[in-house]
Amino acid sequence: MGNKVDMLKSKFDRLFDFIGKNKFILLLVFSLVIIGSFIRINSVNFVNDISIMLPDSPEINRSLNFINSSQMSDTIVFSITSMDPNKNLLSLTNGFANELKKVSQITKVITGVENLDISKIKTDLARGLPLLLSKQDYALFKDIEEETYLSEQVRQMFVMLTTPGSSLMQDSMGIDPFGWSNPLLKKLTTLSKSMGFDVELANTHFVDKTHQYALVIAKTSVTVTDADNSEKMLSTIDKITRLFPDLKIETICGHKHTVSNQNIIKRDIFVTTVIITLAFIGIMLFMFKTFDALSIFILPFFAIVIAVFISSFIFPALSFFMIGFAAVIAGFSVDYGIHLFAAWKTKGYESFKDTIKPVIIASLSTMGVFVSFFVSSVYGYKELAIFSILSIVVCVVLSIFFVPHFWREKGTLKKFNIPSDLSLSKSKLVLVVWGILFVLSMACLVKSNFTKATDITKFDGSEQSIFDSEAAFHNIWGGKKRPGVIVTPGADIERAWQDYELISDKLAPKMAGFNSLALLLPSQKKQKENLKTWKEFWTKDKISRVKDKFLKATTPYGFQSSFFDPFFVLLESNHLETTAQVPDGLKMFEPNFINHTDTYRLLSFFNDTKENTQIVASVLKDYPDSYIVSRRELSYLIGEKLILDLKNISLFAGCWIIGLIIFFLRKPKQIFLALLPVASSIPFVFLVLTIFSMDVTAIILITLIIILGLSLDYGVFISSAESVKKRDSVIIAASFSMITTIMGAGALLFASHPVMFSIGVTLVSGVTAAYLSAVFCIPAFQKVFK
Amino acid sequence: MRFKIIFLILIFLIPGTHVLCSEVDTILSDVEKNMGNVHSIQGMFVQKKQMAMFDTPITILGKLYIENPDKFAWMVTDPIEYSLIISKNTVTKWDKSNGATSLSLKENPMFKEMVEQITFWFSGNYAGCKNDYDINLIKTEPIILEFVPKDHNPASKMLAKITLVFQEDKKYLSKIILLEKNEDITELVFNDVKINSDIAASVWETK
Repeated sequence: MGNKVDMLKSKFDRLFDFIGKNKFILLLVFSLVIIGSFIRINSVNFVNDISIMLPDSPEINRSLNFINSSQMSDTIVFSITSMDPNKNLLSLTNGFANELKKVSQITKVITGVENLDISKIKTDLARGLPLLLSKQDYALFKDIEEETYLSEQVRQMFVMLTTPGSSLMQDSMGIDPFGWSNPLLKKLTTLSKSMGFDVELANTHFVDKTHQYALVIAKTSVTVTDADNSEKMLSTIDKITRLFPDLKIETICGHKHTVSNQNIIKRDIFVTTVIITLAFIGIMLFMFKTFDALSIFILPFFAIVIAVFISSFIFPALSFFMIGFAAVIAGFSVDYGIHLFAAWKTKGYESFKDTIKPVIIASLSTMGVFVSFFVSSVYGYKELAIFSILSIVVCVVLSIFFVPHFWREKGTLKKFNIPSDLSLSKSKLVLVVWGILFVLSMACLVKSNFTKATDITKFDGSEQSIFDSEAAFHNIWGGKKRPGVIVTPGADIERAWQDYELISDKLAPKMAGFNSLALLLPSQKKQKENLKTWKEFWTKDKISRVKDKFLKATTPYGFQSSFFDPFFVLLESNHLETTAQVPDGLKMFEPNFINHTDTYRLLSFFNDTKENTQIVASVLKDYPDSYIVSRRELSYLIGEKLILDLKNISLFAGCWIIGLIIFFLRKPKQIFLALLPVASSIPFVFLVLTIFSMDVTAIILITLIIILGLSLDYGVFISSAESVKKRDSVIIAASFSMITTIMGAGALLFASHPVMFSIGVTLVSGVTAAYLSAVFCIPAFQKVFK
Repeated sequence: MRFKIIFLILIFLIPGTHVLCSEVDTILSDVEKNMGNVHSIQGMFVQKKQMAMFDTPITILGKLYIENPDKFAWMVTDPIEYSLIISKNTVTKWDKSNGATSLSLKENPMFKEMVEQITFWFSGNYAGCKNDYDINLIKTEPIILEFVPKDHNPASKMLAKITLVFQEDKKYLSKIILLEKNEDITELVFNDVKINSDIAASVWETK
């Protein structure tokens, strides 16, 4: 065994010497690689798509695909009001809409309902009554042969026709004198709610209930995740808005979130990079007091560049979230160089070689945490894992083999006034303080609310002004609470409609606010049944009897008998055919309920409450092709999957860390001490989150797993120091390491994006706790429990 | 020479057209201003309808009450007795045999549109409808305005034109004539109109 180690050591020495002799050639190669990487990075496609931070599951993807392909994602809405009461809001709105139509990325502009002809809709519905009315609706015909009923109905007709504004009723009255189509017309009001906004119509324009605001809806070809084109489009819209100084125009769309998030993340990346660069230079000049330390601090940046370069060949596009994490990676990957540099400077080459083992354990434990991310189904975590592992590997390999050749032999390092050995009484005091903090932290951990961890809106770091204008918009137009959607797919409309209708029949009586086109329009199969029932009911004899009695009742009022001929033709229902098409009168509702690409997707809507979702889910068990798309359901699915992911990642990371520690450290006491910073740091993060009233998010939970790896480093290094003297140099290195990690993570505290900021808070608090427990508690435990 | 004549005609026509346009605008503005000062109206009416569906013209008599911004009562006394009271978003119908029944306008789009038709012509806010109607000035003493729905206006499918005859003092309407596409004519004549005098609260309560 000893020989094997000697042989390995000599192999290392030979390799180390070889690299030393060729260091300038290798430096040239390294420089070329860096230049090549920069050139490559320049052409890399960076994207800001929060969906990569969501778990990959067929159900979630189905919902996201539906949302991306539905009206929600390609729609821009404008809430418009006139600031000058003398100016006509609707004319100005038309002018604005006309300008929008000129924008190449805008495919359609809707200001209201053109040619809304309720009389025609009513007449159309009346013509289709034999197809649309089912047996249950026949209560309408209950008294049809009663003379008193007929005479009363005729009287009502006379009243209606002599009321001002009755012109629009005349056409339909000839075919539907009893108003049998009225209940169907009433259902149209329910259908109109599917638009999601509380709109009224004024001069064919969408207006709010006060008529002070107009609504314009635009469709765009720019996808909501396409930040660059979204920015161009929003800039054009902004220019158009400025052409109308008399109008106050609020623009609401998902594209604004995309652009805002991207700009904030870009700004955050710039700010954190500047902060960490300045911080590293500061440490180098004021703590290491030597320029050869520059190599340690510059190394993580080069490692990151190389990691991005390699990642760009693995992934088609790289996310800004990953790059945003670069400061953190720089912060902790510099640690390995620091430990090696501190050993080299204080004790020379032999000490440097002794430090390689803990460096490898520490880097393997950290990489192990990132390897555990591969267990997750979240694409973003895998991307982050590859990027981090590559950065760490490059950093460690270069720190061990390449960079030391540019270090001068010995030097002085800044001494930290941290005792490497504590008296027994001080050790006991340290343990008491630690115990109190640990209990408090555990209490916060147990009390923490994990339910918000699944809230995907926490990933949205858009500027407050966007949320404010959305709140103002919803105050005027409603629609804040989006309805849940039931999607019923089918290769053709008729087949899909049969399930659609059955689902509608089952759900409509069970929940208020249920909305489906099937409420009004039966499937062809049902239409045939309805027509058959109608013909059975309206026999020739019955029609003849009703005709006689009815015409007799109309005579005193002077009605022309031929005026009602269309009604009797309708009763006979000859030449009436079923149709799979939505009738002309209902066409305006079609886009809200029928989604047609290569297949059909028929949509029903319901109030997105827990109870309703349960009811819908129970009904959909019989219709496995149909599914729910709702914020609640999506949040539940994501939450369920994220929690499962976190369990898997934690289990893998835990096993990896414990396995690694047992393999390298073997002694139970040393294992316990190495794990002490881990056990201290995780609960302490919850104490800090509680103090700052921050919600526990999925991002925080995943950052905690990274803390597992980082905390373990301190435990491994300090518990590995066999003597107080050795611990002294390890504490110096650990202190530098903590400072650099905190700087990397601390830079994120200046980030505006909530995801970046929460990573910063979690890492700073976790690493601080890990460092303090390693530097003070490990020696204290060793002293008290000898 | 011929060119000069055409040129002169054009020169004279341009201001002429301008004068006509601005005269309609001025009258609309006057009417809007006058009717804007009207808070309440009450009076008698006679409505004559010549409709294809009836063998003979129908004449009905009754009382009309309007209280801005959102109250309207149409009370027919002859040949049958019934009333229609619109208050905000509710329409209440009353007749002897059925008593009172109320309807929400939000849930009855047909009725809503009908009520909008009624209230619009009594509102006086005609300038806002220039996009939807061609407005012609037929006579100035008394003012007679003719509104022809433009093709894009859904009303054009039923209505050929609406003629409004104003009182001498331009304060209110004295007659409305609706000519429909099928040549049905409705003529509504107002008598004993009282402007801005108190309307008894009982009017808005159904019998």
